[in-house]
Amino acid sequence: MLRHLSRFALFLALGLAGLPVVVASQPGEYQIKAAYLINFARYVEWPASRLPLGAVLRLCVLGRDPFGGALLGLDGRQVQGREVRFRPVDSLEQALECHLVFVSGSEERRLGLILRGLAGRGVLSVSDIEGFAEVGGGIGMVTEDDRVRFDINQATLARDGLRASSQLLRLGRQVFGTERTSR
Amino acid sequence: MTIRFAHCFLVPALCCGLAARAQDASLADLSLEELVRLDVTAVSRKAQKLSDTPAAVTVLSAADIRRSGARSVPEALREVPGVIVAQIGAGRWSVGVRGGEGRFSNKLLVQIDGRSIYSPLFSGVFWEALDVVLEDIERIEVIRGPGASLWGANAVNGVINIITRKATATVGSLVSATVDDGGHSSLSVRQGISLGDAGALRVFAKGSELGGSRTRDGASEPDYNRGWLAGFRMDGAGSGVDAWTLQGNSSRRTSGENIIATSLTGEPAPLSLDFVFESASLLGRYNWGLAGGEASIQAYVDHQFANVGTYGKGTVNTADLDFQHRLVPYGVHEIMWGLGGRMLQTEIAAASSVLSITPPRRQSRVFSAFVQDEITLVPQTWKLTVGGRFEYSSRSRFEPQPTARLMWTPNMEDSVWASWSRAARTPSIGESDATILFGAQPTPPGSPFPMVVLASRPGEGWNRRAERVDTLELGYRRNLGNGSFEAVLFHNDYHRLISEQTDPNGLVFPTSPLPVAPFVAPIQYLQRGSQSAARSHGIEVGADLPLTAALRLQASYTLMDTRVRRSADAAANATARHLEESAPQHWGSLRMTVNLGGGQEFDVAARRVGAIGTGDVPAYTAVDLRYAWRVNRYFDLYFIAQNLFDPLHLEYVSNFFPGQPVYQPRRAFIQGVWRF
Repeated sequence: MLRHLSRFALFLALGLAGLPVVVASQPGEYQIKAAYLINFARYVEWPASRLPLGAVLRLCVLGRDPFGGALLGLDGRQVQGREVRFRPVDSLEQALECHLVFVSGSEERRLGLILRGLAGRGVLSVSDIEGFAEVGGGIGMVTEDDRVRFDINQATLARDGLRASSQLLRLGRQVFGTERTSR
Repeated sequence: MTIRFAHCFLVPALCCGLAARAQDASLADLSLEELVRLDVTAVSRKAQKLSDTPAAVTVLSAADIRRSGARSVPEALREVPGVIVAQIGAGRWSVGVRGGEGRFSNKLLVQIDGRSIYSPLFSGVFWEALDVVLEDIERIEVIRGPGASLWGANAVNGVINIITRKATATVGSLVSATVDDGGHSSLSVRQGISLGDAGALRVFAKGSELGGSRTRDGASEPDYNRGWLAGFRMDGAGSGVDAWTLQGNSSRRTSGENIIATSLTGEPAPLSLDFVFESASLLGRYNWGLAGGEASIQAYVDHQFANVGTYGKGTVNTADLDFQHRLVPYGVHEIMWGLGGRMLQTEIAAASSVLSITPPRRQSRVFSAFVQDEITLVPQTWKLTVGGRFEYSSRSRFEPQPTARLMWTPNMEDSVWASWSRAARTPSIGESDATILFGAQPTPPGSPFPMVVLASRPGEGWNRRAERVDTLELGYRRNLGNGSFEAVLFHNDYHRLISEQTDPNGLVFPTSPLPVAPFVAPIQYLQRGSQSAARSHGIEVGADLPLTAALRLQASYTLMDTRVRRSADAAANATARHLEESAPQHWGSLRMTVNLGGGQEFDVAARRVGAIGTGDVPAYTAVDLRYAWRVNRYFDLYFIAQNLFDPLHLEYVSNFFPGQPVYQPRRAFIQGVWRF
């Protein structure tokens, strides 16, 4: 028992000492989430009237930006032959000018209002607010068993004239608004 | 894990430094398949995302509740700073926020899915009557400090919102079975059915028997608690923005304990008391777009019945209607307003003449309106929230309950907020209408009578006004990467607190024999009234530190002090002392959660609770362990041990009934959860 305890203490001490290093060696939650945003831009198709061929794809964060600069690094990146431009926005009016809007957790209290405002305007809404896709958001990111997964609301996407590729739908944890609902 | 650890420790530059730099750029090149399989270093907790709220709010997610090893709602609240939880006995809890602890903590509002479970009979929550399917709880929000401007009267020291998952999120079957080391078992069954485009429905049932407490010598179990609940919840399909919910619950629980009563010979003796609680409720809610904003309307009916042995019974019927509207932002203003109405019908039938209620039946009505404006002073940096609730109750007076909150967020990491608010608590039916015979008390030598009987009754001409609190708060939050740190300073100023004072008219000689020993004696009345005042202040600290991908530390600590105004009256001073000493002055918890890999979790929680003056409860330390194993995608197995290093300890002595002090033993549970 004692030996186990001292081993455990050693394990702890080693762990604590190596800590800053270990933390840096693995990607943070929001770095992964930022990578997801780029992929969503890749695998979702906007109506041509909303996003003409070759036009700039505007990626926005509504509310307090939790990405800590990770999105700035994506500014100017090419996706499907178009340039991605990142912009933080404060209001719904500004958000309507974007193609992909990440709704920050800071906006949770006004979520209903935001979803209503974005409805039918050709904007892909993404968020990690709990139950986002379920309540009518486009794509909700969910952290489960230390991995970031996502839920898709097909009915919302269809209403907004967006098309998710079959690959995106296949990898989604839960797909709402269709017959296929896993879990 | 250990291997990766060691490598990183020995050759940090090679292993990590390079990787970190390359990462930002390369992560974005990963395909979806690769991203889905990537492990996250550490996950930020929900609480952090509340950094925009100028209030002391803690949100317990379903994962927090699961990992706490809690078997009931009060246990899950133990790690929240500012909240003091003590087990009185089997199923009986004292839950207080910032003091005001007690079996019926009367300054705390508790709601399940928007339905209040605060009893107007005794101003508090019958925790022993409450059972829930823990697996179906989505989150528990704990708001410390007055929440009156949004939640209404009785949200004086805090609000606890228990929110269950939508039926659309619980499609499928669930069976959860638990058995403890004493053979007490609990079984929950839930079936969720998808209704296609219409939404989803779940039906659930749970039966449970809780392990009893022990007497001081550990020999016998002086209490019990068992019962069942059943219910359903239906939610509209999630694809639309308009949402609706319909839910119903019904339950029955029996709970028994001993109280210490004076026998005919004048000796104290335990007397067993059996409670039966029955309840039924039906609630509907609809959210829709209104004038560019969002509105919701909620209505519920609720029936509660309690039977206390052969001593009496009480019934409460409630009908509640609530409307809320969040307007579309106008310039820098974001306005929310609402209206509410509640009808309450209460009836107390006292079979014993120890307690009498006049009038036994009451109908009361509460009408309320609230408005709140969130004003952006400087975008992203300064925000001012002003609001107020205006409440009219047929049992009290017009009570304005205003609040003003200012928040400064200079950067992404830090936020500082300050607030002033005022809240009110309506006197309970018991406080305003009951006459209670406490029993005989010997008089000091030299008195003309050897004994007098003490009795409590409402003071003559008492206007039964609501208790009032003015609260100042100062809060600081910091995001530490994936962790967080929070500290809140608070100061409460209570006025018109209900307390007892010796009747200045002196002794009263009853015309007929009394129902308590010694049957013939003069009565000394204690008169209840809005006579007392108190102040309290304190600090609450909470921290959440993800040390590695697998290891996380959570800590909370609360330090507080309550001072009640003293007077020349002995009875008033006794109430004052009780108020001051009914909660510990400090308590804290430390929790370590470890992900062992392979779907295994290991959690250790330790808590230290300071001594409580009322009932002479000594300080104690308790350590709980939990091990969980996700055997496969259908089956989870949990082992839980509570009070690991402590054969028996006392947490609280009930202050409402002269309950027999009971002790909490070491306990072990094994639980299996099947999802299919």
